Amino acid sequence: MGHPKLRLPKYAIIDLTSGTAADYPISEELYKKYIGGKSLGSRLLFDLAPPRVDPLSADNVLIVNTSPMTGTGAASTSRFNLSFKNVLTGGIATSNCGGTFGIMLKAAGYDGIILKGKAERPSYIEIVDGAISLKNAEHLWGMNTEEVQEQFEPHWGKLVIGPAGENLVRYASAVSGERVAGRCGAGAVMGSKKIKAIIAFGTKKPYIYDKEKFDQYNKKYIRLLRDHPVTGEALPKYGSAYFLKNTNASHSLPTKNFKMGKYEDAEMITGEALADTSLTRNSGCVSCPIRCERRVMVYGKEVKGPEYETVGLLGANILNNDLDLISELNYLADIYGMDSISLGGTLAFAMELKEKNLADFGLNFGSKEGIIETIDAIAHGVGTGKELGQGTKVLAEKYGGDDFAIHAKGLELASYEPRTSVGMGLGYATSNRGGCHLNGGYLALVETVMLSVDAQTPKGKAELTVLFQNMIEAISVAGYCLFTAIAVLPGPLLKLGPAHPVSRFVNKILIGVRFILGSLWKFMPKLLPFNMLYLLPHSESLKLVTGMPITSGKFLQIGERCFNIERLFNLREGLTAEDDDLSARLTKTPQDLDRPDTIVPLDKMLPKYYKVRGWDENGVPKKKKLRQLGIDIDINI
Amino acid sequence: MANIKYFGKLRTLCGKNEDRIAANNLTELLRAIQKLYGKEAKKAAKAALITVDGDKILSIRKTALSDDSKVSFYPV
Ligand code: SF4
Repeated sequence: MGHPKLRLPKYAIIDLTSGTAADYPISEELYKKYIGGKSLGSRLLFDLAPPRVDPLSADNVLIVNTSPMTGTGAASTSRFNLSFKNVLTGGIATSNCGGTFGIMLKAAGYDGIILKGKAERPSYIEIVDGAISLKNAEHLWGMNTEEVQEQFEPHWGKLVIGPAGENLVRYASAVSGERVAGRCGAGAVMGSKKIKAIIAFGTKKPYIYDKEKFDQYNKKYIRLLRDHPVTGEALPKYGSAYFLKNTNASHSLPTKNFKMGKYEDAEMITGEALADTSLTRNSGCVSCPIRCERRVMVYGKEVKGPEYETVGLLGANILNNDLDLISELNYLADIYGMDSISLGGTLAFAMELKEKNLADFGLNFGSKEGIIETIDAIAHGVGTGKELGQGTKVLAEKYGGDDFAIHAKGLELASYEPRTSVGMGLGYATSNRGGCHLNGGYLALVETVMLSVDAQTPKGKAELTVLFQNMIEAISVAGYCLFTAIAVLPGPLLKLGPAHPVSRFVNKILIGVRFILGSLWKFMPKLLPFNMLYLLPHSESLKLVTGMPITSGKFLQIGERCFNIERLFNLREGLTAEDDDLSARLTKTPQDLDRPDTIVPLDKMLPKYYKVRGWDENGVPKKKKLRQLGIDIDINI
Repeated sequence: MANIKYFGKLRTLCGKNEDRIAANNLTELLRAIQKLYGKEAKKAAKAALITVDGDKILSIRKTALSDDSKVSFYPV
């Protein structure tokens, strides 16, 4: 017998080769375990994508789905997810986006769609009030992401690609409004299927199990976010680029292709500098009280400004101190449909190749010359852009420089230099989608950005990484923006400042309680049989929206299950523990030659990490762990 | 004379973005801020992310300043 009011999500599978669509039932068991978003997406991908499929072949499967919270109007919940086989790593890919597409997909009657096959000619998918059709997009092919969206009704939800996706740039993004599903090559997968756009419109209201309580709880939650010094003050005022002075001050701002962690011109490109110079106003995703988005002027019009990652990687990492140019490059990346993180990483690598006389793409550190032209060439797959569009790993395979090719599993690293944030280093190495700070657990938050937990010690980092990875997975699965995870760090503590004795004491405690943190997972979900607004606000919301008896313990276990299913996908696709690695620059060469501890000591952290995860020494989840998580997969590695 | 930059609330409390203050160490500098701009300003400065020449400061007491030190106070 099912739960009396449990509403199962509605999915459709669209066969692009035949041009047909059918409902794809999600069983109650699958829904209860995997919920939605990246977790359900990863499980469906595991089941539907043929093992070892070429990511850019017709057989790769692309899942675009929402979460139970998407579109409910709760704080910061406009998010939707894309799952597919990763173009850059060959493993799992999930990419999260804050545009209106997810809300409209739900309004059109679907919680998720599964795309398989390949359209015969450039096409777009239209989903209106439950009716799905595949339409000719030959007239749209070649348009940038802004132009193509202008062809449709302004209030419809849109997910589109630009020239980069059409030309199979391996880090091409998919764009909804001005928000971007950037990482892992989602745009290239859409391009390989000849899908220029997916548009959705409908009038269905999202399901909320207990609307009255849900609304009351949401009000409390909004208050919590508004009272928090980061989500209520710093992010709205300065955007995420306000992290930059923190990372720079901790020598963790990638500078000159991650050679250094401190940029001498950092003050010129901080969030504070942006607020003082080019900011026109702040803005944000639908239903978000945080409103971290920057608005700036580029080419005479107001557009979305750069986020921290972009400022770091298209700024300090290529020695570019010109904020206006960073905004311009950010805009170009968005309209061409390219991930600005991988783009920045690849450009920096190309610059170092030139510096070391290994290859010449006409790009030099600290020089603006040729950058805009190169980005244009990458997007259109011409000239040097053809090779640069392959990303750092492929370039290193051809030209050498493996020891300074900054990626994990093939995905370029985000804007945190891990030699001075070693927990973040462990996170990058173990992140299932490659060099991603979010999937990696984002320990930079507690090591450099918000708190100042000893950033060099390997002690406690395995335990903290597992905790944060699982928590971030769960928050994403529920459908919340991951910036809401920041509010989990107590506001009153942050208000004291990093030099306060209490802050320093807490930093020590977080390492000191590692033995407790490490054993939490053996006792989940029973360990936390309650929900608390100030501990983990998201779990109560998920309970009220779905009607499932979700507790903090169950919520964290949803995250753990998600992380494990992603890992199983990677193992099936041929990735191994050897891929849990970083370039030699980060693991062998100290950032500060006078301080040998300024490396990422992966060898010290990985064995502990596997143990805390309940994986064997080869990084394979043990049967006992899979049983505990209810994952019925035996992939016989 | 250390070169000081204020951000966020401190700008309002001090009424300026930049400053030059003579101080041999951070403790002296905070005292000078209190004298010039009041208790609230000192409190906000203490709770800020303080950087000296771009490096994060975790111990106010132990930080010496030189004549050309650049000190920034950012909201956390
Ligand atoms: S915090 Fe920023 S990215 Fe997240 S939902 Fe709000 S506006 Fe969007």
